[in-house]
Amino acid sequence: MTPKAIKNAIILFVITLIAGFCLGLVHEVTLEPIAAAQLASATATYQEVYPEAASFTTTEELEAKVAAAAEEISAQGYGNVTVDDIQEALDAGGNVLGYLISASSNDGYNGLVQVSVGITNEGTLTGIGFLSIGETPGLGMKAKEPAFKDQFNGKPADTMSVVKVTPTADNQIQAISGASYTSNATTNAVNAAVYFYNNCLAE
Amino acid sequence: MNKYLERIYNGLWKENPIFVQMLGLCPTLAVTTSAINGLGMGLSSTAVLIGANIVISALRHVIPDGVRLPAEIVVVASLVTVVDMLMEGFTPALYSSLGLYIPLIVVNCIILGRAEAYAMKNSVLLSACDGIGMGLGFTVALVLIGSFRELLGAGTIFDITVTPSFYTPMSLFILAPGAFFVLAMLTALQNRLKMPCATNGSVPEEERVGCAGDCASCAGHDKVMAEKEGK
Repeated sequence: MTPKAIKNAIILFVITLIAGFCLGLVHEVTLEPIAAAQLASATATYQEVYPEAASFTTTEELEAKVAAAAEEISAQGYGNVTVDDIQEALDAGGNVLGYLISASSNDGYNGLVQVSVGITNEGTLTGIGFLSIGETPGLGMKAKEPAFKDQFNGKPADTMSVVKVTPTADNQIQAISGASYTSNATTNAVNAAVYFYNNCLAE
Repeated sequence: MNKYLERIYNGLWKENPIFVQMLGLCPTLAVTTSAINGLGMGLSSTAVLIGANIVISALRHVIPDGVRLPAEIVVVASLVTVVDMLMEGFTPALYSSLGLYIPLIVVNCIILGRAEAYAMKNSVLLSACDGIGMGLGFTVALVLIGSFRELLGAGTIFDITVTPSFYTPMSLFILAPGAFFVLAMLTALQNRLKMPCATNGSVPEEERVGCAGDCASCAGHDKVMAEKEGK
């Protein structure tokens, strides 16, 4: 070790130390705003999915049901799907109007597609919204457009299938042209949420 | 021409990072699926490029030659992370459209290339102008490639439909292979017209920058060789 090498190492160490300190500082400062921003963006999606609801809340009992259903859901043949979260959709007076179920499928073209599905107490879908999606722009990302997304609005809570032609039955969803992976992943995530609603929630 | 304006003209046209220096091709191929993506990536890179050039230029007398690469990487990576966190926390709307590109900037060799080839040797203000010029040049190139791919692949530019209804878009162009086709076509055109480009011998050797595809004439290489010979 020459003195020069030691001096270089010390200077590099000091630069790294200062950089690390700055990063820690910024992390502290931005921790709360980031959490708030993520919550706001999720709430905006929830509101879009379930416009009639005034607020959303979850209970420990519901969360326990989500955890308990994990294995059952993955055995239903919807591919690599999970139900992640469930919230009660409340009206202004605090009555439960229905549920908002977040489910994700890992079978998208670029991996994870996470949707939020609103289902009323009467078993009708209010709509779906994407919490996380990173598909190919211009192809899979078309899932976010009303032409695909709004097909789920008002559908009965039933297992859906993807078709490549104009749908003829109530439980059919027309695929996005050129993006079968995304169409299937989205529909399977919705199916997982619907399955959870029909079979695991009432127990 | 004013020497500060000259830096901006240099980055935009004379030494355009994509078309002339052929730097940063990896993110270029990845994000140019649409014009708006190109614009987003270009502008985020410009911000980081200006910041990195300023910080590295200010530290150029502190950073020892032997560890300049690790020191530069630490500065660039920290800056990118800070920008990422600040954007996510305080401008969520901007983050939702640009956030995707921020981590890609760390591995963008334009940033390191400019730090190495320019900011380590020039004053803070000149380096900042160099950052603006290179950033804008990168943005223009990305928007051009992105528009071309979006036009062929989706029939739109900036999400506005421009092709007649009988045109069936070739989705291939917005998928990965399309990036190679478009870049290859643009480069072939450049070579055919003998436009300035690092790879066709049209740039005089003494004007070549940091890593313009020719390691033997790289500024860093010369220095290392001189040091070796000195010993």
